[in-house]
Amino acid sequence: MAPVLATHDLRKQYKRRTVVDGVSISVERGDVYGFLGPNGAGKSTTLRMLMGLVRPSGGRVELFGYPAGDRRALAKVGAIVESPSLYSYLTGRENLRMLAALTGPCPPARLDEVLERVDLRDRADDPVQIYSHGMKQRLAIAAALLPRPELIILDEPTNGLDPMGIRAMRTLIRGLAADDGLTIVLSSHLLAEVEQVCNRGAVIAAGKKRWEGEVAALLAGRRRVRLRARPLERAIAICGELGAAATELEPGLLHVTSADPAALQPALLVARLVAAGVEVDEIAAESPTLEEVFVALVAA
Amino acid sequence: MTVLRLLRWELWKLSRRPSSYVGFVLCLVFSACVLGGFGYTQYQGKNIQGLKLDPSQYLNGPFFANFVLNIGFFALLPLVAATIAGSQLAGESKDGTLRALLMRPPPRWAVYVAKALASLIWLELMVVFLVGLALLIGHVAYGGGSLLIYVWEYKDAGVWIVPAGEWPGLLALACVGAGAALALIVACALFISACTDNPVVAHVGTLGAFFISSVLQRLPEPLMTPGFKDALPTSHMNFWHEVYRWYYPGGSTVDHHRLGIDVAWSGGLTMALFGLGLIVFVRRDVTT
Repeated sequence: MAPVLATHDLRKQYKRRTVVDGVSISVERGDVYGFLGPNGAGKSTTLRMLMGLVRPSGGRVELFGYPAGDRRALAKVGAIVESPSLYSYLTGRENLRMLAALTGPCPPARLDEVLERVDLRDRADDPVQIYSHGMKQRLAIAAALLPRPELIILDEPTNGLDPMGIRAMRTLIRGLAADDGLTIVLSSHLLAEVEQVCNRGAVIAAGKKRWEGEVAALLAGRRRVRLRARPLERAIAICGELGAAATELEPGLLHVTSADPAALQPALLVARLVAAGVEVDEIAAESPTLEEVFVALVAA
Repeated sequence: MTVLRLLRWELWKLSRRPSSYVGFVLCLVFSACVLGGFGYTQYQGKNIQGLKLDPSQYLNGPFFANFVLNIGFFALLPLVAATIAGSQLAGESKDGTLRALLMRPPPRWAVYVAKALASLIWLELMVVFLVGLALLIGHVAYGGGSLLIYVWEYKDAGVWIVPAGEWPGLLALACVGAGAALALIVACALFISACTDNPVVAHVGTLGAFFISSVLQRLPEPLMTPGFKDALPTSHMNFWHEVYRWYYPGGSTVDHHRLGIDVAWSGGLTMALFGLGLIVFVRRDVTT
């Protein structure tokens, strides 16, 4: 089956500065695809090229088999690129009415439906200028959902949200994928966010794609366990027996890593260590930080 | 259909945006200032540009409205036109809302055309409002009657009177003509607006070009050759004044040759600027 979205050797140069350098990615139908990279990596520029806002300097984009910016493709896509694009002097409902009219006829019931979906129905008739950032973000998602798209593109959707807002946004995104069956492309600079929401993804740094695949695979070889135990030498030996490598990062503290995720199950480790007479003071499973993943990917 | 649908929403947005009404407020202030000026300048005496006339013969509602339109055409309406059109693309680009428009199916050219048409319609509304308001103020202050025509460009023809039943048609035509002439300002502002993300650049750039051209146009001949003056855009924006000549007492004295040249110059430049703006807008990267 043809991918919903594909880029081929996509490049963008502003004067002499290369912002996106030969990025090729592929998003399949039903994917929740994480587009991961630090700030300034070229994520937003890539998304702009997907939506036809920016012209590529080279390479090409295929959106539902059409080139970037094609009307037939844009009719199937809902997107938020960078901050929510809303008219502050209009109410939430008026914003939706106007944006809906750009795509085609939209019955009023559909407006209520999407407002309900993002939990904004009660505030729909307030002017957008008094909305909080989280409400603007949700209204922008409602606008993206209006034309019943097949693909949703969200650029850093949790940026600037408070913890409750972040949680609500993640729940909403998961719901869009699970309940509405939408394909979602989500850009983020937070690995934990992508890990929690996405099944596939790509890592981009300095405009270049560093990795693409299953998110679980990206993390699998990079998980580690933080272990404080006595005696240390005995603990290191037991980890070795389990096929895991333990390194002492600071006195009394081990970081245990393994290519085999089974060897890093805290319950198994504790059982084996205790059985061998090792006292366990502290044990915790840890995910790598985005920085560590980048360093590892760039080094590779 | 797409353009008409977009035009409808562009007009709706203009009608909902508070800043769209600044121009209407300026029209009110401008008319009030002119009224104040009438009370304290030469119009209060018995002299209009050296012509001995009794103020009661000409100082009335229609005269006031026509005067406000003629002065407003150079002093106020270019500012309003540059503000409306200059904000259309650069303003939305600065606010980030241009992205929302361009990420949806309507093509960029349709968005541009709809914004250009909406600017022209809103400007024409403003012209009609200015004249209507001046007519009202003039009627309250000075009463009604016939319209005395005195156009600086045709000062050699002196003054003439348009009867009470005929001047509404003349003022209506003058409003349409003035609006059409100001399309050049709209086109210039829209072109600059398509090139930048900052509406102030479009406003200042357009007004700067207009006022520089106006000043150069008025420099005496030893300083400015007639050929150079002819090439200035503002030299051809007065074509709408020909409508006054249709009402000349001895029959129309419209200079068709001059009218043709002015309309061709002004219209050609307007279309060229609209076209350039369209090309820039369709090809540009939206990075805000």
